Parts: sequence; structure tokens; C-alpha cells
Amino acid sequence: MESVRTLYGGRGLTLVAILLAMTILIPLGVILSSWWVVEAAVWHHLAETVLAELLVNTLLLAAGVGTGVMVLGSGLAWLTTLCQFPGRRFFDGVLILPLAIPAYVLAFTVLGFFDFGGPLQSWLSLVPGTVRLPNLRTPAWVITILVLVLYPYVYLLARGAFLQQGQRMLEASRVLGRGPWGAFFSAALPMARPAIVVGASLAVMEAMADFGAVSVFNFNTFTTAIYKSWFGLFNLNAAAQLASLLLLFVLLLLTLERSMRGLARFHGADGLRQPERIVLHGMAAFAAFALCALVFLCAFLLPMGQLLVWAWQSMARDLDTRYGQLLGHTLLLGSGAALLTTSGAFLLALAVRSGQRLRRWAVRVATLGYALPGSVLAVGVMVSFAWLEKGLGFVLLTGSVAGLLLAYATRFLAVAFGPLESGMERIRPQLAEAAITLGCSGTALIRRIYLPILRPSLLTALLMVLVEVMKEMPATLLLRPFGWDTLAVRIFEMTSEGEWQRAALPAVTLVLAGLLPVLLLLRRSGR
Amino acid sequence: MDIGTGKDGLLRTMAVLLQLDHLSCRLGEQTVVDHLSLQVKEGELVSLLGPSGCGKTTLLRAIAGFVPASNGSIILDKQIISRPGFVLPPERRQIGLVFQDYALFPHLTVSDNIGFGLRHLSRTERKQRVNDMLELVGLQDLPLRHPHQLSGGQQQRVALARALAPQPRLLLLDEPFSNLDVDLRERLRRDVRDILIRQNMTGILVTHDQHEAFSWGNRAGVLHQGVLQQWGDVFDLYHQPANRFVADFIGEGVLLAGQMVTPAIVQTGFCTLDGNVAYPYAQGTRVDVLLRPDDVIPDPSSPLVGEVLLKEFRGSEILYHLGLPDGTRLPALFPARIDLAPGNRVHFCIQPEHLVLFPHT
Repeated sequence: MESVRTLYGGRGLTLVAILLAMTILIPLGVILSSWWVVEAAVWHHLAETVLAELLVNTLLLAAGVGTGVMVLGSGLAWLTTLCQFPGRRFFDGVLILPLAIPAYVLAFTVLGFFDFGGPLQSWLSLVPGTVRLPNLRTPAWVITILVLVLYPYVYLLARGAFLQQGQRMLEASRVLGRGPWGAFFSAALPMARPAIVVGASLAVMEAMADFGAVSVFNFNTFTTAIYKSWFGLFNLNAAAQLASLLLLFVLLLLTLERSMRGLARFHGADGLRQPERIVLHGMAAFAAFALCALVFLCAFLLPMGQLLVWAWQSMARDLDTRYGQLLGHTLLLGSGAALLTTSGAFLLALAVRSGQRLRRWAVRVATLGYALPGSVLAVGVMVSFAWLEKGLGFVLLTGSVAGLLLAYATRFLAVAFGPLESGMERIRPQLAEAAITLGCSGTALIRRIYLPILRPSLLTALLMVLVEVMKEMPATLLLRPFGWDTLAVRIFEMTSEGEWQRAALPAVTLVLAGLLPVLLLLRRSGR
Repeated sequence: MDIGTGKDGLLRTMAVLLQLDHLSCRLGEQTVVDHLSLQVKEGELVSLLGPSGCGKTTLLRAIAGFVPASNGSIILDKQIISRPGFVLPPERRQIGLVFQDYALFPHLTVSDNIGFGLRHLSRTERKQRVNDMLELVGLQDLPLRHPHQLSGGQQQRVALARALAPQPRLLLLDEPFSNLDVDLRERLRRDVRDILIRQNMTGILVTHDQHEAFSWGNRAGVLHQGVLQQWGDVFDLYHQPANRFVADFIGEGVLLAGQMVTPAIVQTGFCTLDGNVAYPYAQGTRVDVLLRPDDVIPDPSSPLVGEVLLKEFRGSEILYHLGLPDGTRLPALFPARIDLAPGNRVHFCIQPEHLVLFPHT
């Protein structure tokens, strides 16, 4: 089958795909095999103290965040796509901006705002009488913070689903005797359900993986427990065992997401088009406006304002060479990981084109990394390298930049693969065949056809990975080599000491970087 | 070398350029091309005709080198380029291919598209060749446009120029006109044909449109279920179809049940037809006779009469379906001046050029 080889590359690509799948499978295998040695003492300690709390907290987080993002995300999406009220067009765009704010940034901003000596307190002290500040370190507040940061996942997918249903479906249910509200609940919502569930499972996966926000709130979850048993007890094996428990939850979510993803696909009956919107009047219009405004205010405007004020106040002290160093490290790690990850994703996108079964499976496994929490992945990478080095007898990658880059690449491969795959789908196979009949094959084919045509997708992939890596906290904390502090690490250090103001400058930097891909997304969806 | 007589009656030597020898191709488990043999001579324009799914595109892709041979061989200019276990890679075959949807490179200008296959030439040579090609296809004013800024016809011309630029030994065209308006399609087909003849290029056109095949070249093949049903002169395809499939696929017509009276004469339900040649069927054999609509001719003095059931205006001619007393439904193509209304009765006679018979089934 030589002809097939010229088109799709030889065994090399299959090998690359399998290798990339291994970067998922090996850390996973290592984590699961940690149960060969049961850390009886540690588990006894855990069971007596925190295990029950961990499980309850995790379930609470999953249920709360899941419900919250589904209600908020699909509700807002319904308002901005299928209703008409003042400010709709504006909110349609800006409601995805919270995607740019890392959960831990919103968490410490809110906490700092309400904290002793925070702005709220100093205002309240001007008011006579005693006003008690609420205790923020409760599950409800953690869940609220995460919902405000993560609802855009559901919002985006539900919005797409509502728009794709097209007018005809809704008209059909209207003709069959349903009012506009009935049509929503009997047709639009059930048809969008798979998309909404996919968005919610992605959001809950992110919530499970979150380390920064929960640790600011002293809310114990598996990610904080993994961190503590690694750095507090110096017990990597116990960390791995905790990680495997977290993996169980993630696996359930992943299964849910994957099964729904298939269903979410085939609904676009008459494609994207402007739906005929339900025009809201009076109180209803005001309520819709107020809800959108409230969410935008709480999830984006207020925290951004607070951060900017803090950053301005601490600018003189914090904008020094140390900040330059932090930014430099962050960008260096980010761009290194972006290059590595995008190259890998490009090869995967090439590999998956041939439709060979083995390759398809390898690619499917390799792009599962987005589901692995950063702390789990860090433990997996660390333990694998420790084993490898014990076998080889010398220090190889542990605590090196290479190990960190590998963890980033594994986790964010899917982020880069998405835009590349959809870009690749637009290159018809005939284009490659035309080039081949004109004498251009092999690497020349990649250089002269694929790379130039895919350039916009490649740039998108690079940018998205860069920003994700810049924001990444747990894996960076656990795997960074000595002296390689990043902006996210700085935020962690400052917030764990309650120095909210001094975390603001790096946080603003990260949010501004995070806005880039979000704006790109906004522009692409034509709003 | 073999000696052939061109349609102009001149004797000329024509070397066989492409030879398919018992070629079979499989896609997965399915045999898509089945023991197919044919020869194409240098400078000849031929077409492969067949309904969609007949295997014609797979055959073309096998010649281009994208589909391997599971049996037999493909020989180009005395060199085996495909046989089981061996495929000369497409990029080394020097065979040009024009795709149905053109497959122009969206990131390159018209000039760069045409120059894509000319890496082996020097800068000046390449530039010269691209200019020649632009002129050849009449696009000298648009060298810097991108494909999306061109009309369908212009894109088609770029695709042709791009395929011809590296001076391939053979040019394959995969339904290249099917995406165009009828008007443009005919004009462009003539232009492309002229260009290929001027370049003395050998061209194989794949199409499902018989008119396209007829006006493309002198020879054509009809493909059905991967089997070459007939390969030869386009005149014969219409007037001497080798089997029922070809008779049915090419042109309109009807098969009438009949019985041999003598070796040359057939008795059908409503008339007696004389083929003027001896057919290899014994007297009394039941046969089917192929009648084309143009075999039916209006004739007031004829005893045969039919009632107009259907009328389809076709410009200079009108197609009628005539109902005969024995229930036969006979398609007839009359000059447009013979204007009948449904229900009218018309006298006609049958004057086939050649009588085509198939054994009755």
C-alpha cells in the first residue's frame, strides 16, 4: 500500500501517536500501581482526620457546581440567543469574558474584598453601628465562585445548540400548539440537553481539578490533600493513591461527557441562522437585563476593578526585577510548552486523517489529558520519572524543566488539537492528491500545503496553550524546578499569606493574557 | 507500434501510451474495478462513461497511483507502473490530474498554483512556463488572484493549466465540467479539448454525461459495476451497443419483444423489421429488438398508427411517446414542425440503420 503511505506518512506518524498516548497511559498506570504498597499509617491518619471531609467536599463541589453552571449557563444562553431585551447584543458577547479569569484569581479577589482590612470593611467602618461581615469560608461561597468562573463552558455550548436548532424546530412546536415558553421547555431545552451536559461535565472536571481557589478558601479537596501529602508529609505514594481516588470521579465525568458529545452533534437541522426572538417587555425585560448585568458585574467587572485598584496601589513595590523574572519564566515555559504541544497536536491531526483504527485510538487516548487534574498529572509524571531514574541509576528529568513541559504538553494536547483538527477537516484530501500528482510529497507536502493552509489554526493553538500554561497552578507548583517561579506560583504564595494586594499585579497580567483567546473566540463567532 | 487510420482517413502510426491489462482494484472487501483491459494511444482523447458508483473514478485514481492494483497491471509507455504489490508513487508517474472540484490550493495565487509542480525548473524557466500556461488558458490578466476570487470557469482553467504545466505524459480529468452551468460547460469542454489537441496531449475524461463523452473524443468506454461493458468508437456505442446495459445507458430507446422469422427478419408485436444482415439466431428464437426514438419516422402512407401519450419539447425536435394498439409504448423523435397534441393519432414507419438484437430474457 505504497500509495497510502505517500498520502498519510508511514509508520512514523503511528509511532508518534502511540508515543503521545503513552504520555497519558504511563502516568495513569503509575498512579494506579501505587496501590501495590498500601501506606497503612498514612491512610489510618487520613481516614481518622480528613478522608470523610474530602469525599463530602468533593461530592458537594460536583453537585453544586454542576447544578449551578447548568442553570446559570443555559439560562443566560437562552436569554441572549432566543429572547430580545435591552442590552442583549452586548451581554451576548461579554458574558463569555469570565472565561479569562482563573478561578483562583476570582477566589482571592472576593476573599480580599470582604476580608478584615479590605475595602468593604473600611467602608462599613464609616457607618455607625455594627455590621457583621459574612463568613466566606463556607462551601456555598466556594461553589458560587467556581460557578461564576465556569458557567461560560455551559453558556457557550448551550448558545451554540440553541442557535443550531434553527427556527423550524421551534416553529414546528408552535404550530403543534405550544406557546413560546412551552416550545422552549418541550423542544429547545431537550434538544440542547446533550450540549448542556457536555458543558457541565467539563465545568465539573475543572472544579475537581481546581487547586488554587479551594486552597484560598481552606476548602479541603483531593487536590489540596495531594499537595499536602506531597509537600507536607513528603509521601509521594500517598499522594498517588489520593490522586487515584480523584481519578475515579474524573472518569465518571469523562464517560458522561463523551457519551453526550456524540448526541450533541446531529441537531443542526437548518444550520446557524438568526432565530426569531421572544420579545420581552416591562418587568421581564428588566429582570433579564438585571440578571445578565449582575452576573457580568460579579464575575468580571467588579473583580477586574478591584484587581486593577490593588495592582495600581502595589505597582511601585511589585513592578520590579522580580516581576520581570516571573513574567519571563511564565512566558518561557508557556511558549516552550505551546511549541511542543502544538507540534505534537499537528502530528496527531495528520495521523488521524488516514482513519486507521490504531491511530484513531492512539489519538483519542492522547487527547484525554484535559480531563486529568494538574495535580494528578504532576504526581504521575513525578513517580514515573522517579522509577525511570531508579532503573537508569542517574538523575534524568526529575525537577527539570523538561518534566514540567511534558506535563503541560500532556494536559493541554487536546487544547491544541481542537483547532488543528477542525482546520484539517477543511483541507480536502483532493488537495493533497493534487499536490502529489504535481510531484510534491512527504515532508514537502507538509511544508508547502498543510503548514501554510493551517497557519491560522496553528496560531490559535499556540496562543491557547500559551495562555493555559500561564494560568496553570497545581502542576507548576509541584513540578517546577528550583528558581522557576511563575506568575501563578507567585499568586499562590501571596494569597496563602493573605497578601491579596500583592497578588494583584500577577493576577492582572494573567487575566489580560487570558482575554486574548477569549477575544479571538468572540471575533470568530462573529459578534 | 501499430498502424491506425484516423477519422480523417490518413494513415498514421500511433504508439500505445497507456495499457490496462486485466486490471482489478479493491476498496476494502469490494472489487470496484474488475479485470479491465484497454489501450489508449498517444495523443488520443478518450472518455470513460458510466453511472455513479460504476468504478470509473476508482479506475482513474488507480491510473494516477492513488489506488493499488489487486490484479493485472497498468503500463505507461512500456513501463509497468502498477501491479499487485507494486505502485509507482503518484508523484513519480508524470500523470496530470484535473479534479472534479479543481482542488486549487487556497493559499496560493493563480500563478503559484500553476507553478506548483515546476520546482525542478529554474526561476526564469518557471516564470516562462507559467506565463505560457496563463496564455494557453486565457487567464493572463489574473495571475495574482486567489482561487476564491475566481469564477467556476476560471478555476477550471487554472486547474487545467496547473495539471498541464509540468508537461505530463497523460492527463486525467475526473468529471471536470460537472460543477458548471450547462452553457459554460459546453463552451469550456470545447476549449479544453482544443487546448489538449494543440498540445498533442493524451487525455482520459471520466464522466456520467454521454453527450460530454461523445463530443470529447472518438473512443469511449462504458463501465458498469467495475466491468468494462464496451470499449470503442462512440458511434458504435450508440448504434451497436454490445449489451442491454449499454443500450439502456446510452441514449433513449425501447426494447421490443420479437421472434426471428428468417436469419435477418424479426416479427414484433406490431411490425416486421428487416435487419439486412444474417443474425446468429435460429428461426423462431425469441429476441429483443432495440429501437431508438430516431428510428421512428412520421409517414402518412404507413399502415402503422399510434396515439400520442406524452409530448416533450426539445427545441429543434419533439419527443413523443406513442401508444400502439398492442399496448407497446414507443418513444419517437420527430422534427419540431410535426406538432401533435396528446390524444392525436399519427402514422409512422420504422427505419433503423442497424437492427440491434439481444436474446430475449
